[in-house]
Amino acid sequence: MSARLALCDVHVRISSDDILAGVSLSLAAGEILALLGPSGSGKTTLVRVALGLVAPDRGSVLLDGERASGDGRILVAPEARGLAVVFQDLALWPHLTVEGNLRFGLRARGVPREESRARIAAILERVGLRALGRRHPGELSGGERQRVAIARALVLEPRAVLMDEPLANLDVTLKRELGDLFRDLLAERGTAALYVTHDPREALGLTRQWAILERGRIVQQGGIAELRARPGSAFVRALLDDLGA
Amino acid sequence: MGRSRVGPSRWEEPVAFGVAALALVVLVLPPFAAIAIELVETGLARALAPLASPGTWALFVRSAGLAVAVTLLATLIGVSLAFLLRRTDLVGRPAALLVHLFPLALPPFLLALGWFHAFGRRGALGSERGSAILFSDAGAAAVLALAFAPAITALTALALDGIDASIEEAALVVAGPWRVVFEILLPVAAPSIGFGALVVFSLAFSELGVPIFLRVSTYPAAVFARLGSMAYSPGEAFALALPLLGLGLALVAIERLVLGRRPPAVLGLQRARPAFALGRWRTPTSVLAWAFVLAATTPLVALFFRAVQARGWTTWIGASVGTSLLTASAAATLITALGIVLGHGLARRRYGSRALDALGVLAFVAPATAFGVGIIATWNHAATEAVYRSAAILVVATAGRYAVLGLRPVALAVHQSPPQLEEAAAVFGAGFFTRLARIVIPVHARAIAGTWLLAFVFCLRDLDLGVLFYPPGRETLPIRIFTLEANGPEPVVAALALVQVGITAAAVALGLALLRRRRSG
Repeated sequence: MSARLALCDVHVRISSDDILAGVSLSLAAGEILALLGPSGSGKTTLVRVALGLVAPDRGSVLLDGERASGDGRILVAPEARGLAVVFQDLALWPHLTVEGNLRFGLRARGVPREESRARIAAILERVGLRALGRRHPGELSGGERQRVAIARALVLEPRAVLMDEPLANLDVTLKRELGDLFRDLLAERGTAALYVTHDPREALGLTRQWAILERGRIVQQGGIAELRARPGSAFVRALLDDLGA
Repeated sequence: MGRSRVGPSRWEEPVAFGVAALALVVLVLPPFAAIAIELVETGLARALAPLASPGTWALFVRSAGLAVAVTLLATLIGVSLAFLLRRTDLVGRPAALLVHLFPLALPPFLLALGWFHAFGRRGALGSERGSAILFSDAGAAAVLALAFAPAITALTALALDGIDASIEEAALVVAGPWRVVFEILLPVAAPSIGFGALVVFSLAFSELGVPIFLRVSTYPAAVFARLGSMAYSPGEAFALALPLLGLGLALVAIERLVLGRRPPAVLGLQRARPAFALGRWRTPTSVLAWAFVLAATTPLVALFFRAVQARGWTTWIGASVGTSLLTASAAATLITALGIVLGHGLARRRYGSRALDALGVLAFVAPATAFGVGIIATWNHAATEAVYRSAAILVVATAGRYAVLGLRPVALAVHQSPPQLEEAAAVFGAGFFTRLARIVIPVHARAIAGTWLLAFVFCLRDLDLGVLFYPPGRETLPIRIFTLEANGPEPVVAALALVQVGITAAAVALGLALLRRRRSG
């Protein structure tokens, strides 16, 4: 079976810098993969390439085996890829209510009104925000906004969800609580997810399958045990040391 | 922590803020208060008699209708062009934006004059029908909408630039580009568009030059007539100014209560993002947009062709250019100086700063005629004759009316920089004045220079206010052109109008060149 999302030898060059230099990565159905890397390693660019917001200069992006971007061109528009995203700053639309934020994507994808209403109610119930549907993002706490962002992504029943450091800047308790919620939601729905972070503990709370991105290259990918047995770089070793025994 | 004042010399900031606040209050409040005082002194029943006439209110409603039509048309033009010229891959976008924005820096009356030379009875493209349309309510609305649309374009473009890229990208992942534009980008930019519409409404309602030139009756023109024509009756002018003051207060309330509540998601410049591709529509849309932008410059071309026939026009110009440059420079400097201190206070939420901001907004959005009548009532006394009979009155009046143009941009710039920049300097022992001179002004030098340029251009183009009380022999160039228009030779008036265009273009070009140099330096 082909991967839900695959990047094959993707190169992105901005000015004279190789932001991504031959990245290959695949995400199977239902798989949760953590992408770890230091600041400036190209994590966010990789997410933007996968979403179709940036065209790779070389290489391809495949969705269920179908070529979506390739060699400088975007072949499938971002909105037609069936992907969802949670950005680091969440990017909730400030002028829409919580329900409005969830409804926007459903309407754009032509989901009938009744079904849309039912899906919104169900996901808000699940993330504990049923009573806050009429509020605007500015009226919510930090944790509530995180829940809206994940609900907005999952209500679309996407092919895969890409999460770009969504829990950065939160305190440890909230990070753990929301990490558990993300993991359970993804597992319940069998949604594939690429979870970008630079925090090994956060990654471990979600999945034991990791890919390490350094200077625009995947230096190692596999289960934690495999990484522990043969750390591919000093950065990987430092990450694992950070986790302790 | 917003109100904490850091630093060793704690008295410096309150004193500076207090002095600037007092200056703003002295510039703005007395003219409005004076209208009320004049009416009370005359005896309210007698003074307000002109307001009992149904004709007065019919004229008020007609003026409001004209201003609404101008606002709707300008908003349609401005929002469309802002999106096309700022966020799409239209051919030659930066140049088209510059050409489109420039007329905003000119007195609208000059543009009306140009349209007259193009489409008036004796115009190059003129006809009876064209002239009839131009000299009508619809003609006035079209001329004013084209003159003021760049204000909406500029504010919308800034708002679109300021929307966080991730807000746009999060939408593009789930919806097509047009849905993203209409359901995400424009609604998020709505507070800025709304503010632009409010500004255009107030400018259109205030406008004296265009309606008078095109023989369209408006309420402010009726007030103006009471101050210097056959209908001379200053007492009535005070009474008629009262509804204008009410309108100004209503506009401030709208700005505060409706627009001020929206989240400031549109502030600042975020990282660049790809333009929306027009695809196969790129060429036709580019041709149409450029045709529109160039068509809007028709009055300037028409003025040029009329002006080349002028002989001896320099003798007509008098001291007006010098007065214009001097008063506009002085007022812009005063506005910027007040803007630095009060704008900083507003950004850092100092006590009373929002009230001062509201006062500045009131002076800007209240029809110029109301503010001008108040200026006369305040300063036309023996004790203040030295100011009232000199060009200083033009500086005092324009500095008050346009003070908010200094306060708001500086506040926006300071708001976007972390307070820690100043707090760190304070920890090292820098007092408020040192922090202002060494941190705030250098860090925001471009914004402050841009603020001065904006204030200068608005003071330079002012006609509606200064024409009410300019001292004899001290008229600015727009006033000179306006007064000559009735009886002066047409080519000479066109030549003087071109001088105004030239001075404005030179100031804008010089300002932009300096601002660009600073950015690259």
